[in-house]
Amino acid sequence: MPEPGVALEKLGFLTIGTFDGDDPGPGHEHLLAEIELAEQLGFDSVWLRHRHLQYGVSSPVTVLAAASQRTSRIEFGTAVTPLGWENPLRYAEDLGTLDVLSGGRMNPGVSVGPPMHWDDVKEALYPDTAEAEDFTYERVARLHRLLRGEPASTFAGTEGIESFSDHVQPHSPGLADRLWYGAASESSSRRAGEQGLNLLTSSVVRVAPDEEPDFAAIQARSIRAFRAAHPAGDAARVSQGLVVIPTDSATVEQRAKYEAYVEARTPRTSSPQGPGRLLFARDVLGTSEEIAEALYAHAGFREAREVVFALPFSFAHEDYVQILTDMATRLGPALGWSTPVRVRA
Amino acid sequence: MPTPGVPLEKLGFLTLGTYDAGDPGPGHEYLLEEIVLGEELGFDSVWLRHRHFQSGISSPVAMLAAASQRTSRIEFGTAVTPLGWENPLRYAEDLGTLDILSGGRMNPGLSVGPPIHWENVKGGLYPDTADVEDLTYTRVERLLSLLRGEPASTFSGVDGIESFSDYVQPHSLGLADRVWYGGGSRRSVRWAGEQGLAMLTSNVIQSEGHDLGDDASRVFEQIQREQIELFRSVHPLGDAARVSQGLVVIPTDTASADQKARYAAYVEHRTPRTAVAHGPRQMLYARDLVGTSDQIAEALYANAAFREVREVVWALPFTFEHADYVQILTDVATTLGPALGWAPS
Repeated sequence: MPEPGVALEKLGFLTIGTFDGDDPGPGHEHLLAEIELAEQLGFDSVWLRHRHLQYGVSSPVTVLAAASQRTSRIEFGTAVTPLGWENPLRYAEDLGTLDVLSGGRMNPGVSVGPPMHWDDVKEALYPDTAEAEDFTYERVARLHRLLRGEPASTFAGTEGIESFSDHVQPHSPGLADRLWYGAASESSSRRAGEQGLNLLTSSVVRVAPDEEPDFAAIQARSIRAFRAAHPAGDAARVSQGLVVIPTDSATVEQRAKYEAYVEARTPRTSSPQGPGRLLFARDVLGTSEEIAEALYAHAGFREAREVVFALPFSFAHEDYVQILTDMATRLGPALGWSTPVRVRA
Repeated sequence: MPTPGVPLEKLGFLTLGTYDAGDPGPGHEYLLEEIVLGEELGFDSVWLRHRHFQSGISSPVAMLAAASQRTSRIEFGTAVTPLGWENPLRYAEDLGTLDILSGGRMNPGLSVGPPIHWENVKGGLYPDTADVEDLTYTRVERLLSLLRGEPASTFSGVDGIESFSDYVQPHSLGLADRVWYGGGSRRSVRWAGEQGLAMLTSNVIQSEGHDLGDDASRVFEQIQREQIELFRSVHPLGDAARVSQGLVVIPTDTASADQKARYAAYVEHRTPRTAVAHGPRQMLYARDLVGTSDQIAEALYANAAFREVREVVWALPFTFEHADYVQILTDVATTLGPALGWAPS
């Protein structure tokens, strides 16, 4: 658990991959360039958000398959794929193929529940089956079983000149153990632990009706509940994902833009929002030294040994280059993290 | 239309991407190397079959996304994706992303109908919705509408700090005009023509009551020719409508004695099935063409259906070795293609 003197073990970053709806090419190319840069900087992992009907990556498997050919070491993940949009069997094939192409670097992160804007999208997404789709945890359990290679067909053998398997192909050993669940509450964290999944915590938690709206305290309790329920106990993997913006090498203009971004998002962090009582964490902005101090004071951070820092949504490519560079060269080391590249060298 | 003196306009190849289920990495890497070789040899396109529960590519979009980063010119396609396995909205996102990553090089090839081994796989594929899934042409029409950018949601605008589109993102201009349909019956090619799609015709076709006489191969060619004519007669573009023929073609110009022997055995093993119609739908198979480029060119010029097309996508045999595919692709591009008047890109 990182506190001054205990090293942060893994450093990743999370991004949405913004693009211009009228000219999506440059945004996708910038994202690939950012992933290459991160590998050079020694990041342990890159994670993509998974958006639909927005100007962010809608097919992370496709983008990461491309990234697999421009990198050789950095791990990949999604944080998170809303599984309500996926058919677990088809998605298991995509994930298996990506994991084979990347040499075992994929970490699928998922969540469940009805898709966002469900009433607006259900006619196009599931015109004939919307009422019958199962959006419960069973959808995650199905994916987990399929990734483990459990039977998904009642036929195996040869027919004519072709052979058939009864489980998903390609099967990538180890992939099922790299499945993460994005939980926002203590109860869903506990359930992820019971299933033996890994846990992604983000910058959003769900506040129970009788709970004090203290983000860090809720996050820390969720992580402890997850580990208590997990077969691996304290060794179970948890990743924390706050929005973190180091300004060490930022220009005056960049710093002003970042401050305005954080300021616009701060009011929503003061109290639970909406009927779901979602509480947002404050974005952490400042020099690496200031950020490290804030993190060591954060109860949620102190429970994690790995982080996946989230990039802000709407910045320009050169801003992400500056932020990633400061994260890997200043903030990471300030938290005791050292790059695997350096370790290998 | 290729006759001696009229050049073949486009030459592509189609492959299954076989791999060892116990070690899928090398097979996937060989496939990528074959695509790179295809580009270097000047092929216009590479097409992947789309298999499920088999040791062949189950996620062509992920494979081609990887290939997009190793090539810059060669076009991509699927031949064909059975759309019964896909959710058209999710698949439109995958295809849009791939088309953006590849700079507009994707040609989605599709078919519909209940998936192969439907009774065996429906519990794994659609545990809650199998009985209400629409596996008709409507599924293709949904995908086409989504690729064209027609509305997929009743909401667009800003929600909190995020913007939403009412159509699939990313939208890749022109992609909807590059959709192919794999037709093998009068009904399916008529439908594809009426929809304004391009047509993939393969080495399998429905004989639909034709008398096979004592030369089933000639009858196959005649039926294929009639289907091509029917397709063009109902297509808005008429004779300019794109049709690609996909026979198994194995030139032996530079093959070793061992390779020649194995190829001959492969073809011999598959030849008996070409003499009779198979199953309730009376499927008829074309003969594989094996021989020197001169011999194959002569056979093609004598083929009534080949004379109707301006482009071909030749299928590689399923079970050969990487070195065999290298030899075959090299002979196709350097000897057989030129013998048909084709010039490498």
